[in-house]
Amino acid sequence: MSGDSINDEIMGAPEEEITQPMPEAPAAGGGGFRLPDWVKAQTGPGPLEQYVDHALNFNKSKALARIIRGMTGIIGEMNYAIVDIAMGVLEFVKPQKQTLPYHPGS
Amino acid sequence: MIKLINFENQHTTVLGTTQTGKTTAVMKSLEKQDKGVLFFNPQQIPMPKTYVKATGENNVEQIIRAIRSGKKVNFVPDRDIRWKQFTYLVNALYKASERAKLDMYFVGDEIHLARMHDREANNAAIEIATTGLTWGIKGIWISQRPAEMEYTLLTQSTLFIFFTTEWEGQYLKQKGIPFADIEKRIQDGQYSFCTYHRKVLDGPFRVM
Repeated sequence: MSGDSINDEIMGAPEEEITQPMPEAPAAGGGGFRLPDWVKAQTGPGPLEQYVDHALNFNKSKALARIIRGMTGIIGEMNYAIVDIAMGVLEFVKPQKQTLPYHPGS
Repeated sequence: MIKLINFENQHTTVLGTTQTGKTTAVMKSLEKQDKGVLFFNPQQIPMPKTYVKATGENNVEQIIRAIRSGKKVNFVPDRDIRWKQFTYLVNALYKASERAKLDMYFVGDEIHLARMHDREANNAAIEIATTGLTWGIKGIWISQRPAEMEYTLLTQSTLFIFFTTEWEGQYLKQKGIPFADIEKRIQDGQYSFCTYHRKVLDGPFRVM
């Protein structure tokens, strides 16, 4: 039997306090909430027109060019498989423009 | 007749209404013999200076060493964990006796409370009643409520000490105790008691 008192043996000796290392202080100017780093990434290099002819700009639009330029700033050259898949899905589901035949008088 | 109780090498049950002198008689009788004693004292009855006071703040090995040297230990439990302490002490005594056999008396005052309030403590008392003599632990059970006591403690006792008891008379009669004879012997004697050993009734006596 240990040298503890009867009450310590019955109730359990109080646990020693474990001192946890203090968390690192936030960066200067930081508040209690920090944005993830990728949100603060710079957009991709070059003018927007450069991305209109980008291989992934399947409809040669300025809107998609802007998306591609922004994603280039976050994840680089955009030659990842996941990007290909995402763009392929977009192209697959884009609404098809259909011209209905006009029937005057109907 | 003035006579101390001779507990010998057996289990004993001491019965009687409150304030009839049960605890005093046991305390004084044990004081004069040389075996170690652990008096579990939930009522915090004042003890003479010959008893060494112990509480839950003491280390159990200190208590066991005192008992082995023949000291009389007055253990005053904490009210809210008294039955946990009771069980712990009994287990500790058995472990100590496994290392080197004890030769001691374990006194459980108001022992009916163990059966009423705590199953583990009641089982610990049963352990002493059924196996204690093998390990040198003799139980002395003090109660004013024999009907509420664990029946095994009564059946394993070979010595009974009767002080004045009123409402429990019917219960004792049912168990074959010659209650009418006891009442007659101690009717006028404050703090008087009778002994009932292997169906032989004797007394009245007083310890002082």
